[in-house]
Amino acid sequence: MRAALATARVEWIRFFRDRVALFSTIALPIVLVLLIGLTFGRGGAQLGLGVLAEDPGPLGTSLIAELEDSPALGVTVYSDRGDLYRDIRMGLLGGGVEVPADGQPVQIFVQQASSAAGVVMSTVNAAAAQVGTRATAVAVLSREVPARKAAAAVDQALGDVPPLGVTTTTVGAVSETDRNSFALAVPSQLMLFTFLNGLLGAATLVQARQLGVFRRMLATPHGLGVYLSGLGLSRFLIALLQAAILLGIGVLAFRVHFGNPVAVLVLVFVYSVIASAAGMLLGAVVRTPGQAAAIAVPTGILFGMLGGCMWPLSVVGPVMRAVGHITPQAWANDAWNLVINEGAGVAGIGRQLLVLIAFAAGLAVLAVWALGRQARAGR
Amino acid sequence: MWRDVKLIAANGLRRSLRDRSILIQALLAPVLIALVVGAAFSSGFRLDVTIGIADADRSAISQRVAEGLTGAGGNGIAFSTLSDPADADQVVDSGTYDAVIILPSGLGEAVISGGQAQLEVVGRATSELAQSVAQSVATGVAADLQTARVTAVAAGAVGATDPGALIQRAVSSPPPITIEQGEVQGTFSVMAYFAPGVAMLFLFFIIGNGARSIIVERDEGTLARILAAPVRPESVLLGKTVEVIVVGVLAMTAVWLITWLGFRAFWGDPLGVFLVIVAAVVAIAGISLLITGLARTAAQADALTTIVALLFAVAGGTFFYGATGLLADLRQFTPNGQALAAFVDLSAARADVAAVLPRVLLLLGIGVGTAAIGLLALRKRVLA
Amino acid sequence: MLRVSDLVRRFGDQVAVDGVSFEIAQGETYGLLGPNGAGKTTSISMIAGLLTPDAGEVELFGQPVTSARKSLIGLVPQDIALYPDLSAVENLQFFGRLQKLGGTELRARIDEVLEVVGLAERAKDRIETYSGGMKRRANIAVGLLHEPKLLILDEPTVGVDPQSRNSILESVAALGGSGMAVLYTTHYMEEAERLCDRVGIIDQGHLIAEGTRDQLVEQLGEKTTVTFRVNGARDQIDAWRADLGRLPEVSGVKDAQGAVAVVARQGPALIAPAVQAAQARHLDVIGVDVAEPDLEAVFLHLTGKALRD
Repeated sequence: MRAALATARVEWIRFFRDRVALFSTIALPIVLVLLIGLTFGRGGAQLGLGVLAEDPGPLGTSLIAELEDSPALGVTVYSDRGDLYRDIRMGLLGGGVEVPADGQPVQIFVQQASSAAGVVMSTVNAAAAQVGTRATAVAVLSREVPARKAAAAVDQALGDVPPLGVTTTTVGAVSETDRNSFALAVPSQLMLFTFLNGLLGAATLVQARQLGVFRRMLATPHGLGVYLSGLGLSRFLIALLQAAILLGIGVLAFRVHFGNPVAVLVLVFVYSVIASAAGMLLGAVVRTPGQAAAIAVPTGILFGMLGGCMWPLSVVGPVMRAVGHITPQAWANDAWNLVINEGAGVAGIGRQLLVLIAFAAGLAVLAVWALGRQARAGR
Repeated sequence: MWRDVKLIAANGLRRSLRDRSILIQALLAPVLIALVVGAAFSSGFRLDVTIGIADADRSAISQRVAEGLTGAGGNGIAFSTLSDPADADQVVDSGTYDAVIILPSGLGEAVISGGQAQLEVVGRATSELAQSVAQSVATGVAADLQTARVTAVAAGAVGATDPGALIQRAVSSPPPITIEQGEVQGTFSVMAYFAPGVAMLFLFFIIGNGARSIIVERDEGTLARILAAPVRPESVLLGKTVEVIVVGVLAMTAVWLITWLGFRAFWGDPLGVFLVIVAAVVAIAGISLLITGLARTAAQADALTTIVALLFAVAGGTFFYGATGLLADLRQFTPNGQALAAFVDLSAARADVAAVLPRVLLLLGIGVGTAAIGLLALRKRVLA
Repeated sequence: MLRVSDLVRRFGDQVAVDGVSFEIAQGETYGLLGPNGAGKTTSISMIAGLLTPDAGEVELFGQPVTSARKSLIGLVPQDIALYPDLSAVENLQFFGRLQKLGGTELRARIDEVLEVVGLAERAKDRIETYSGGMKRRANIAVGLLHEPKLLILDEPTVGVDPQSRNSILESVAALGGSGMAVLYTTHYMEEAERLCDRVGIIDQGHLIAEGTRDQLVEQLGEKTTVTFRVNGARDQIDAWRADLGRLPEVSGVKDAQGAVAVVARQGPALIAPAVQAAQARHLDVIGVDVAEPDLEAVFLHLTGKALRD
């Protein structure tokens, strides 16, 4: 036990001397949490609408003003048609509207087969109706009386008649992740980077294998197991430290309510074991530290994407959601969602925890088996 | 001299092609990541909203409004009648409806008399978009009714003979702004965004590795052996530069062809795409040479490369598809962000070569400038 | 064929090579003998055109070594300067082409040198799969490939097992015999004695002596080296060493791996007084060895220290 702790201590010190490791495990996730939290904070529920208006008349100008007030669409003004089409094709906008001079038809365009058309159409129609009240009333009345008299009467009526308003009531509570974008950013980046860092730990292991530390350790009375558990322990502690820093920033700087602290602790603990075990496994199967890094980074990103660390799994289709659950990230994400948004405790995330513990145990067993094989083969 | 440059570049290339790490980073990683993103977002934006219409007024006017709405659904928005307005909160909360529009009692009377009335929308906190859609629809209804009200009051004021007919005409006449619906032709695959983005991230590692090999070869003695032959130091530096650019262009072109021909992710005008690939690789090569020139040891160059690559990836938008604000501004200051913008112009805006030329020139300028400084610094070191 | 005159090279404040001059004739094997850090590799790097001298000249057949004339030299660096991920043939192809060889000529030369260093059977295997001795031999093969007039070998036997070392020394001896000039650096006195026609002794950047083995040994006069092994208290041994230095006609005293080596004229005559002095200090003399003069002794005589410190 003491020998394992000594190994962990050495690895821990080495980690803090390695500036790149510090950057990628601590600084980078903090930067990402900040960027994501600040960028995707507001307007998430709005659909984008691009407005192209070179020389709109008074009606057109009022229409644009009404659109900008509409709750369903976030309006961006474009001056270039190519840019507008680009952002529509990319799905960054729900659609676009071209407002020409008064009298010419307003063009709405959406992407082929996009269901954003419904929202765009109903919103632009509503805005047009609002803008058209006076013009329609004057036109109708002008059939009975001279146009000037009709216009005067309509303007008088517009002043007298109170507007027909719309009031809104909202039922249910806003979820913590909707209320505070950092409640989503912190756990997702935490999981992405804990795992990535765990995988990168493989490089240390390969180095040790290359330097013959394995053989030397086999010759000591403690054996290889002690060394490996020390190494695993240090990676695990680094993962915990990483989690503590990110969660601390979330709570202190961004007032995120992560929910039941025991559940959070257990979740972080189990996930950190998974990350370090995955790194040990990778360290057992690759040949050089360069290879370890070359595999670790893409694997970390891929698992993050599949498991919902890059975007919530609720936005992808059912097939990809199911596929995503081959990764521990997806199960951990589900658990985080339950803890943060539904107030679940340890019991509430029991199913997810069981799956995660199975992941941890499976990876650890595989890693030990593979490392044992390597050691016996004298590598 | 060119013979030596070619020999040195070819030797480096041969060694790169044998390196499995390079194949993983250059081809496998970008293609796989792009495929996953493509699969995740293949269906695009989907809207599926059910809005309930509750008529608490039951007047002729309110009934006509309700009938008009329930027939008007489509495009992901469905309307259906809700029999009891008092249930609105409960059915929205339970998720039976995503939002409810309530036509309040006294609405018909208010339209005729010009009195006060408010349409009500009930939405759910967890379904913000549905609530916004319902609000838009209600606002449209209110605006139509308002037209009728204003017409009614004005008709009374001028003593019109048949106000009812006028109101009827006001409600049924088309708004002064006519709206036509069109489509944006051509589709876009998110793979055409993530494949080049991720490829450029890994190019920083691969090309950085190639540039760093100048220091590694000096430390391991092969550089001395090359220079002991009748070879000028400039040939060695140029050879390495050519090597990393060829490796980069080959890798990225392969990613392009695999995602385009294999998975139908259209990157745009082929000539434009190739130019942007070359320009992006030159820029990344220049930055890698600069890092190598400034670093004191191979390990330091490695560390700097990793940090620069990850920072540029984050700031350049490699993982943020279509972000706005701070992230969108940051992109302009990174070479990969500039290249990504050019790629997107080609693929999503269907831009031609001329349109991406300014960005291509900018990237080439960055590449040549940084490479010049880096190579000068390395020149001092190669022949001490 | 090679003339080196007054070479000087500084690294910062340190003068690595300070006024080194020597000449090598065609077909001659010249040894540059000196301890680690004496300036051997720096001198070689300047001769091979890898380092620019701060002062002095290097002339090959009466002309300076320009880039194009580098082909006259074959350099075998101290490091294994080969690409480990390429095979021996691939390494030879690359470096051969840089020497402007090509086609059938290159192929023939590759077969030849692989035969010379005894690696023909493993030619297609990657260097990283080779043993230490095989790597050394492959390293030499590249230096020989383009048939240089002058072959420079920088400590080619460092870290090599005795068997491979012997095979390397035999190859070098054969090359020297074939008419090629060889410049051989080493800190192993035995290698210099065995291989070299002439030896230059270098220490702290200075060439302090030069000549054939016999000429160098002659400088010592009739001096022999007597090595004593003693048991006893450390301070007494130190005091006894001082006693030895005061004996008549002793020119150097040195600790040599647990023993004490004394260079003196009439070595055998020294034994009796030395043993007496030891007994006076309660030291047990457990062994005495009298050696004929060799280069090690010359170095000890000239610098007061052993070659391998």
